[in-house]
Formats: sequence, C-alpha cells, structure tokens
Amino acid sequence: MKYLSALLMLILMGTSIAANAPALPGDSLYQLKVKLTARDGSRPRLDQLRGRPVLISMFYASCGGICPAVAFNMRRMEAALTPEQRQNLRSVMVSFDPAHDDQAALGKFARDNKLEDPRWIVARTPLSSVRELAAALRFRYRELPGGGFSHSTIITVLDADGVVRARTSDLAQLDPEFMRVLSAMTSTKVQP
Amino acid sequence: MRTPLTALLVLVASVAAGAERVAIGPGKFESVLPPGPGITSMEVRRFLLDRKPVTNAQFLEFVRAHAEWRRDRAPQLLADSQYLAHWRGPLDLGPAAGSSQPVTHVSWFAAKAYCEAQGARLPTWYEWEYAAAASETSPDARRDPAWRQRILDWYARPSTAGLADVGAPPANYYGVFDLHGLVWEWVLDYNALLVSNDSREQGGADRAKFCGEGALSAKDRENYAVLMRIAFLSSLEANYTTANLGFRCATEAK
Repeated sequence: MKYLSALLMLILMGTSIAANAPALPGDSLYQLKVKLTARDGSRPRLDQLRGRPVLISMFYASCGGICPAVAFNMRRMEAALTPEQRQNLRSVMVSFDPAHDDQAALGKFARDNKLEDPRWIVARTPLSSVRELAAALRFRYRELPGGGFSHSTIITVLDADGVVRARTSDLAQLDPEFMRVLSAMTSTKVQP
Repeated sequence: MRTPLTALLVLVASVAAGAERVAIGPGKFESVLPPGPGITSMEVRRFLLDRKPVTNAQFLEFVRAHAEWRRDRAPQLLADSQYLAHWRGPLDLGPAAGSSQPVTHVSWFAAKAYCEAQGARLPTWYEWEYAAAASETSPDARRDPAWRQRILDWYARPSTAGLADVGAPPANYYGVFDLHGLVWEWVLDYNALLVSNDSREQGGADRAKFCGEGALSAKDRENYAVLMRIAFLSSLEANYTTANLGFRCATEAK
C-alpha cells in the first residue's frame, strides 16, 4: 500500500512536471515523436532527453570505417569536456538501417566502439521514423546495391529544449566552433 | 514490353473505374542517377502512382481533418514560415489558391503526412523518374529530342504566370498527368539523391556530391530536365516550402 501511494505520488509528480513544462520551441527536434529501441531493449522516446544538451548522430552497425570514426569523434568531444560538463550531456546514435540493426547488432556496435557508458543511447527506430529524424537532422543517406550505405557524417548538438545549436561533419579534428557551442551548452547545471 | 494499345486500354479501364492512381512497372530502366558504380540498369517494382498532383482543395480537406497541419499550428521544424502562405487563412484558400491548382508551399514533412493519411506514401525518386520518362506514346521517351525539347521549354518559361489546374492533357503513356510542366514534386528519398562522399571526404564540409562512383554517364548528361530536378531536390531541407514545389502520392501495388 505504501508502495502504491508512493507510485501514485510519482505518477502525479510526473504529470504535473509535464503539465508545467514550457511549450516546446517550434524548431525543437522533439517536435518529432521518435520512439527508440535501445540496445538493452528499453524504449526511450527521444524527447525524454529534454532538459539536457544532447550529442546526436546516425549510423548503421555493419558500417566498416566511417561510423566508428563518427563514434570515436563523439567520444573525443566528450573527452574534451570537464567531468561536470560530461555529466550533463547525453550522447545518442540512431541506426538508419532498422532492417538489419537488431538489438544484438546495436550491442556489438556499442561494445566495439566503447559506447557502453550509461550516458549513451545506441538505438534503432522504425523506417518511417528514420526518414523523419534524418530529414530533421539534415542527415543524408543512400543505400548502395550489394549492401552498405553512402551517408553524411553530421554530428549535431541539441540544447536542453532539443533545438539544433551546431552541426559538424569534421572528423579530422575537433571542430573549434562546434566545441565552443558544446562547451557552453554543457556548462549549465542540469536539474537532476 | 507493353504496347501503346495496351496502355490505352489500361488507361480507359482505370478512368472508367474512376481510379485516381494507376499501376506502373515493374520494369528495368537506366536512371540518370545510377544506384552504384558500374550499375547502369535497375529494377523498379510495380507501384501505383497518383495520376495528378495533390490540389489545394485536397490539401485543405487534409488540414481540416488534421489540425496539427494548419499553417498556424505546424511547428517550424516540420514546415517553414512560408508553409501554405498562398492561402488566405489557415482553413481558407482565398483567391490566390485555386481549388484545382496543385498545392504548393508544402514541406516534405507535410507531404509525407498527407500521403500517410491516405494510406499511401510519397513516391521514391526512382519511381518518379521511371514514370516521368514516358511521353504520351512511349514508356521511355528520354532519347526523343522533340520530347526533351518540350520539357526544357517549360523550364525556360518564366514562373511568374499562375499555375495551371492539375490534369491538363495530354496524360503520359501510363495515364499520369503533370510530371513535367507544372510543379516540382517532393519524393520520399529527396535526401538520398546526392550524398556527401563519406569515404573520401573526411574533414571536408558537408558538401553534396554524387554518391560513390556513381558519376553520370555521358549520354545522361543531356537529360538536363531530370538533372535539374535532382539538383533542386538535393538543395532542399525537409521543412522548406516554395511556390512551385508540390507532390503526389504512391502506394505499393497490391
């Protein structure tokens, strides 16, 4: 009974928080209702990351060189932040190949690329949702005959409301302008 | 290979049935945008395509039923500030938007939502290109200089004149209208046409490039009309709207 009332309390609090949240900006990525399936089988919605800055990019698990390079660059970006900044940040990679990237494939990609920190979400979403997310992120991809994709390497930083603040396709170095924005975004203390 | 006569019979049959969509394909064809290095020919599976672009009146009906797509409600992420700007009000076409004119000032997101509301989808680029290769009499008229010139003449015409109503004859080989000569059209995979070459462009900006080794073969370079489409579609982002960009829907063939 005690548990039940505590649960009820939590639900009520959750509702009131949602009701009190200021309206989402019109250009927020969270205007899209993207339902993810993470590598552990959990089903987070992308807009549940609201409240924190987010690094986001897209990939496909069987990608040989470039997707690991994007993941590596995202980790390099994180590493360039202070531990406090890093705590505020969430990092997301969403597969654009839902036909092949099941949970096992997502798990392997996360393991191989050291994306297993709980701050990371490596996930898939249905094809229609992939198209919308890619479109909103200006991420271009094209399936090649015989398997594989040609695709962009864009990494995007979202502010706490899901608005795009910077994009970079630079894998050769840490894009200084992008890092300036990322650092500023992650410097604000996030409500736990 | 279908003869013009069978095409005519199919057309007559579909008009008699009041069909708004016609079956196209399956077939093999050479796209101006080869799918990959050394691959010139590709298969298009059978699909159904709207005979005409979606009109202002049809889109108004959709907006009435799906209020989240009203121009005063759709978020900027999904449709830019010019979304349905030619209408007098959010639910009022007014004099500048004829009910039978193709709807324009629509974003990719809005077009996708419209088609999904009809149980359909946007056509893919290859489907669109395959259907648009047809003249009135031939399923693939792309080597016909006279036909090519007619299409190019449209692109050369100033766009200040108002848009014609949809469905102006002649229909093409499949019974489809307005693939050329009226508006640009969104396709489902508008963002897959030109992709930054990830394997060779590390460190570069996100410049659009022809994918992989899929360089255009010499004969295709003459197909300016279709190349212009590709260049135009590739320049778009999904929330963009313009005064001459509309769409039509497609479905899988049953």
